[in-house]
Parts: sequence; C-alpha cells; structure tokens
Amino acid sequence: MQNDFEKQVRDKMKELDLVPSAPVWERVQEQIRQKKDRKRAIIWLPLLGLLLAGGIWWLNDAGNNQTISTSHHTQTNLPSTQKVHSENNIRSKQESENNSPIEQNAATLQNHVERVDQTNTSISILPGSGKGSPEIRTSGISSAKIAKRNKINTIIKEPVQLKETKPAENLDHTIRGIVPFSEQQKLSDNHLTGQENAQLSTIRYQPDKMIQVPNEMEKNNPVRLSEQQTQEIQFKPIVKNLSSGPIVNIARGNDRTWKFGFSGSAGISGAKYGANLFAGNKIADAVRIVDSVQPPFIYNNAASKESKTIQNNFAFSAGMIARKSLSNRFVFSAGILYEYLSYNSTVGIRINQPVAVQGTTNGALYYTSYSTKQQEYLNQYHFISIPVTIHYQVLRNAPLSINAGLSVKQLVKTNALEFNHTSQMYFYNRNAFNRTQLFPAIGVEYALLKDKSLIVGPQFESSIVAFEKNGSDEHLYVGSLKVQWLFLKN
Amino acid sequence: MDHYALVKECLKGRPSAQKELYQQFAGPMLSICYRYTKSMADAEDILQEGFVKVFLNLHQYKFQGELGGWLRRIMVTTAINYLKRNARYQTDLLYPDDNMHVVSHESHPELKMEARELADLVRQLPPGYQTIFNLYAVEGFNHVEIGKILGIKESTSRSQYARSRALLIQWIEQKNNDVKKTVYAK
Repeated sequence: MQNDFEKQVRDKMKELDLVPSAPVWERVQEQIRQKKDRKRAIIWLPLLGLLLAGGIWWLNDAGNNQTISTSHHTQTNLPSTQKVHSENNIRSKQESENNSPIEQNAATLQNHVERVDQTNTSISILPGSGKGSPEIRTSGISSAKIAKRNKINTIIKEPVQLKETKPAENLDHTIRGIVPFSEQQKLSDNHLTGQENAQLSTIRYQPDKMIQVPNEMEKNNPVRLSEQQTQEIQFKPIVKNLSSGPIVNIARGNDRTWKFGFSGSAGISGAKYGANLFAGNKIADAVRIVDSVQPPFIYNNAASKESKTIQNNFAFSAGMIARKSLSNRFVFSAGILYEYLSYNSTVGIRINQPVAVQGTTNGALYYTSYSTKQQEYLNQYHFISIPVTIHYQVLRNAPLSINAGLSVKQLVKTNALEFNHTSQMYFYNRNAFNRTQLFPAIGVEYALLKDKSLIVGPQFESSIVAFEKNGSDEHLYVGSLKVQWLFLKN
Repeated sequence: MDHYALVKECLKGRPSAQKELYQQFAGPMLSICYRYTKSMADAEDILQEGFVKVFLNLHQYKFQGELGGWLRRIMVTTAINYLKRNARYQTDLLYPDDNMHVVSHESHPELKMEARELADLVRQLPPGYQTIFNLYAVEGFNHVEIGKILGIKESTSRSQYARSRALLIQWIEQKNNDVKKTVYAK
C-alpha cells in the first residue's frame, strides 16, 4: 500500500508542468557567455602571454644584436696571467671564428669611435656577488654617478685587478674575455661625427681589442682608457637584474644563429567533440540511443545501446626543424614535418554495392548496425605540418623548457569515414574534410647530451578546426613523445 | 529535431538549438525545481543555474539514456546544492529528530487533486521533510542514497520521510473532506 501512495504521487507530479518567466532564458544565455569567455581566457591567456613575452624579447634582442662581440680577435693575444679564463673562452672563440656575419658587422662598427676624455681611466666589470648585478671597478671617473645611472651594485675605485671567476654555468650563453688594449688602438673622439655619435651602440669594436661599455654609462660618462692599462671585462649570462636595464648586454655570437636538425615523435592520436584541449568526449558519430530512463534514474540496461567510443591509435611524425635562440631563456623553432594520425572506430558490415549517400555513390560504405557483426575500422590521416613554437627555459641551471605553439597541418590523404545520420551509414568522401587544420600545442622538453643537441619531451596538440565539413564538432588530437636532434658543430 | 540532433547542434554552439532545448525542457524542469523550493523565484533561480550547467557540460552527455533523465538529474543536484547553501532552507536541513507522533497510514487517501495542488501541499512541508519526501517518493532514491546526498544518517532519512508522509496524508485527507463538504453544501 505504501508503494501505491508513492506511485500515485509520482504519477501526479509528472502531470505538473509550469512555464518559466521569459527573463530566465536571457539570464541563462548571459551566464553561459560569461563562463565560456572565462574558460577561453584561461586557455588562451598563458599562450598569448608566452608569445607576447617571446616577441618582446626577440625585438629587444634584435636591437642589441646590432652590436656584436667578436672575441676571436681578443683571444689571440691573451696575457699569460689571464689563462684562468682561457678555457672558458675556447668555446666562444671557436664559435666566433666561424661567424662571418659577425665579422662583417664588426667591420662596420669599426668605423665608430669612442668618446674619450683626457682622464686616465680603466674599467673592470666583474660578476656581481649575489644578486646578479655586476660590480664595476674604475679609476679616474665618477663612479658614484655611474652606479646611480646604471643601477650597479658596487663601484670600487682602484685598483684594476684580475679576478678568477666561477666557470660559466652555460658556455653557450657566456663570453668571458680579458681584452688587451694597446696604445696604437686607443680610442679617440677625434673621429666622432654627429651621426656616429648618434649611432653609438653598446659595444665598441676595434681589431685586436674590444671594449664593452654599458650604453647609458658611455653616453653620460665618457670613459678614458689609458694606453698602459688593461681592460678586463667579464660577463655573466644575462640574468634577471641585468635584463631590466641596459647595463651589460651582449650578443652571443653563434648562439643566436639558426640551428637545424631532425625532429620526430611517436604517440597516440584520437578524436573528440569540442575544441577544448582538456575536455570533450570521444564518442563516435554513429550513436543513436533510443533508450529511456524512468525515475528514479534506473537505466534500462537491457534496452540501452552502448555508445561507440573512438579508440586512440598510433601517431608519429618526422621531419626537419630549425631553432633560434631569442634570448637566454627563449627559443623560437619552426619546421616542416610529415605527420601520421590514426584512430579506430567501430562500424558495421561493409556493403559491397555502391549506395547513394548525400548524392554520391561510393563502394566503401559500412552499416552502423548494433545487432549485426561489428568491426574496427582504422581511420588514418596523413598531414604535412608546419609547427611554430616558442620555448621557455624554466630553470636557469637545467635545460628544462616548456613550449607552446601552433601547428598548421595540411591534410594530404585520409581514408577516414564520415557518418550520415539520415542513412545511419559510414561512408568515405574525400571532400568531407577540412584539409587545413590548426593545432595549438603545448609541451615540456629536456636537452640531453653534453652539447644539448638531443631534445626530448612530451607534447600535446589538439585541433581547433573541426575535421569534418558537415558541421560536426569533432576534433583531432595527438599526444606524443617528441625527439629533436640538432646538428651542432663540436 | 530529435534529441540526438539537438544535442549535436548545441555542442556546435548554435544559440537556436540551445533555445530549442531550453524550450523543450524548461517546463518539466521548472516543475522539479518548484517541488524543492518555497517560492517560484527560488525555483527559477535553480532552473537558471541548472541550465547553465547543462549547456556547459553537454559534452559529457554520452547519449546513454534519455536526455530528459540526464537533465532531471542535474536539476535535482542543483536544487539540493541550492538548498544547502541558502540560509532560508539551511536550518530545516539539519533534520533534527522531533517527537512528533507518526501515525501509520496503511491505507491512504485517493489523490483527487490537481498536480499543482499536490505540489503546493508538498511545498508546505518543512524544508527538510520536503526535500526527503521529494527525493524518496518522487525521484525514487532509497534512504541510503538520500543519506549520502544530504549527509545524514539513513535512519534519520527513514524517520523524516515517515513523518513527512504522515503529514501529507493528513493534509490530503483534510483536503478531500473539504471538497466533500463543499459538494454536500451545494
């Protein structure tokens, strides 16, 4: 009897049908829009931020690259007392020797002369003791003024000394040179024209000697260099404090050149609804459930039909890649790759006779039958891909980087099946696909080997373009382990 | 447009499909919300919140079972959460054991009233009773499930339900008698 009462109540309640007021739908729409905007922002802001930061760094560094250091001239005449540094210099020397564009730039810069007054002065810029700012030792100039204008930690007058420094943490990013400065190459402002004065840059170049002086410092505090004194300039890798002001900034010769190599990856790929990288389900088209659920939410399992889930399958890529350092931490890369993506989907029995679907006929058709024999179909995609990526080195002392980018993929060939809801059939149609796909990608990578020429790490890409033209919102994705091998000269 | 196609259109982000889905289900879903609340404004708030959840999580609907059932489950969950965080309902959701004498109704009156009238009677129950009555008698959850949903003991749910049922039957009988008296008076 008790159940009878509940049943009556339940039946009666089913009859209840109320009509909501009009503003409810408007509020629903508004809230959906707001939440979707927030979601989009969460997904895209970090990527945009990364790209923007990379762009700013690139622009900054492009400006600084006009002033090129050429250590190979300076290394040839190293005094014996400075041998402690020579080992660290070998690499930058070797790199510089092969760098003809640098020499060309240096020759151009040779025309510039430095403004020097009549006071004897020498400068030694040493690595900062703690916070990354360098320490400058001078004689004969207003050191306090320099310190103030250039945000340098300490300026100590007298004497000029050689200091042994720690080995460079990352030779690729470091130039340590002790630069002899001889009498006949003394800089003079006699040759300075108005135009040249305006073009003064951070680094002055003369054959067989090199002086690097901070931009602001030299503009505001003309430095005289004595004939007998030795210039000692040492540089640390650009660190945070330094990068905030133009104290000492150096171009790194070969390090900023393009490096080329092989790129390959292997992993899994699949398809899902929605462009969201981390959401969406993997339901195939051919799912039509006619089951019903009655309160109290007990599914009638006997009558329900299982949805046909897409199964991930193998994916790989292979091609060429080019990388270029934008700064100490940012690297830009681009490449051209062949990519193979695939996934399995469940289909019914193949029809051997052509059947008309959407006005076309094709022999490769399949029933989407639940009652008859089913089979797995391997959907394969062949792409030519152009990935563009910004890499950011997370740790200063370890070559661990995160990366984000965009990959433009052009579909070359596929055997993937499209689903027709009207006829409930899978069929192949070569014109059914959006052949140009855009895949935002994120990943992590770690550089191996002594010269950091082997880069490995996981990567995830998900297309923001639906792969079918029929309005379906299905998107491809691929997760893989990426390996890049750069051709580096030893 | 059938539900399968409707969902697919909604997943593409088409506003017209979203509106159609809303129009198809807003009425029945509002009825659910109405049973759990004390005012139409609260019911509409829950309806709005529920539909926002529906559209943002539609990709999770796996076409297993009827779309209406899936929506219904979201609405019930949304309603319970709304009651839990709303001060007006919270005191009664503590479900204190009272000393009310429960009369066992082995026989129950016939439900001659309209659905809206019955729903209004249910809404007159104290909020705690109202929620348990809805979950057990209408939604079909058992007391173990209700205990988990509301964070109470199974026995509490059982006893609260018995009291709410007794109250409701009493009110229904009263209502039936009033109707009889009116008929006789005529």
